[in-house]
Amino acid sequence: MDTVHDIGGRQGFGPVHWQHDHDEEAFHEEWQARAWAMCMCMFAVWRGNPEVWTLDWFRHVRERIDPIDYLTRNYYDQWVQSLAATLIDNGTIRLEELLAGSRPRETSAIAEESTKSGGTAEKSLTDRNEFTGSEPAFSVGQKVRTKMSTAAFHTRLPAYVRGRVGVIENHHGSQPLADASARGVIKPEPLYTVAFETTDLWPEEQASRDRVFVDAWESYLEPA
Amino acid sequence: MASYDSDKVAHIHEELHSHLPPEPALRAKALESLLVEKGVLKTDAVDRWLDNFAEKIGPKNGARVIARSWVDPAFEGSLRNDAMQAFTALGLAKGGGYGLKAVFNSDTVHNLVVCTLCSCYPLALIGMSPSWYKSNEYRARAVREPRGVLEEFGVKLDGDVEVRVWDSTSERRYIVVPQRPAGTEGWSEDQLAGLVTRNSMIGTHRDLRPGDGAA
Repeated sequence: MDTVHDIGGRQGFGPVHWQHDHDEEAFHEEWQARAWAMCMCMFAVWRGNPEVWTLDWFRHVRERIDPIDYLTRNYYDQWVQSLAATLIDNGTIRLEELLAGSRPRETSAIAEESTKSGGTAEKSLTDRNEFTGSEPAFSVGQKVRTKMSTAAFHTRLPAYVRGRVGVIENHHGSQPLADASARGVIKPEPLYTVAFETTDLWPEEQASRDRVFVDAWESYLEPA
Repeated sequence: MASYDSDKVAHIHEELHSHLPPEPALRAKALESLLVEKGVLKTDAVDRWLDNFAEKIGPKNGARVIARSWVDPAFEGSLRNDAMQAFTALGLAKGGGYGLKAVFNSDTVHNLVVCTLCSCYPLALIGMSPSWYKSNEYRARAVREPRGVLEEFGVKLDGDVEVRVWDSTSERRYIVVPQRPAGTEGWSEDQLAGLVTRNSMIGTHRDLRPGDGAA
């Protein structure tokens, strides 16, 4: 879906306010750290179980936030709302409970799992499976054109490179296609890095030698 | 079971927008409290996660890897070929299939990393990204006017330096390896690691100088 999240290359945005960030400060406010960690704990519980969650589904849930909210509300606030929406959708909580509070219950098995995974944060964050997919159809150095549209749902082909010609920079084996993962379907497919000349992307950049690199799944591409 | 129904979650968002308290900290607290009350999260799960993450993962880990690559050509080769393996070799990761690509600056190349579609960043290795990295301004502009963005960060590039912008659109992640500054011959690895800033690993800081580092 072409929601407002696909923001690369949109013009009219002002300066990047970077002066308030410091290397030793991972979060500006405590609630932001807790909100993020709460999401990570739930992801660790759900990872590997596409019946209840995939990361691409969560990304899509965030993409469905009201466009005005998406552009204006704090990043971690959006994560909280997206986690709440994900939990309501998959039946873990009900909206009414969130609004009204709920009665205490026994600690469940899922809570045990959330604490266990909290003890191995860096492992569960970096844990990725190797996937076997088909042989790559494109070779390094080959010219390709990106498709004008890919999925009507979630996709990772940004609008600013669609229909453009680029060159295969590298092939990375297979990764689950994000468009399918967002629907809970794990479908490994060859993944490439594609290099685009900025002169082929932006009308005002006709003298530039700069390049933009995008990771793209095979079904996003056709021979040019 | 997840519905994987886009319009259904859009409707849930509308309900949440309308009925949750407007203050973000209260919204976060309400959700965490409910998850604990329902037994979905243990009381200390969030604290434990944060303690564990803060203790082990941060920009200093990236700085250590980069400093080693400056003093050890074989390690630099390993960082170029398989960056995840380089982190694993220093005990800063446990391996696995996390795809990490290290992109090296040179006199004629400057690299810049962005995620235009969301906020992808190698946070499992070098900690949380700065808030500006997740901003609309950076995400929109980095791929279209990288030189203008870099100037705002104080990075002025000659015309003969090629800018390479890496948009993190898959599960692969990128880390920029800045150049070792002149005048640091004979420095220890720890001293060198102290020069490497978080922004330099994203590409919004190019010329490292003593006193700027994360360590």
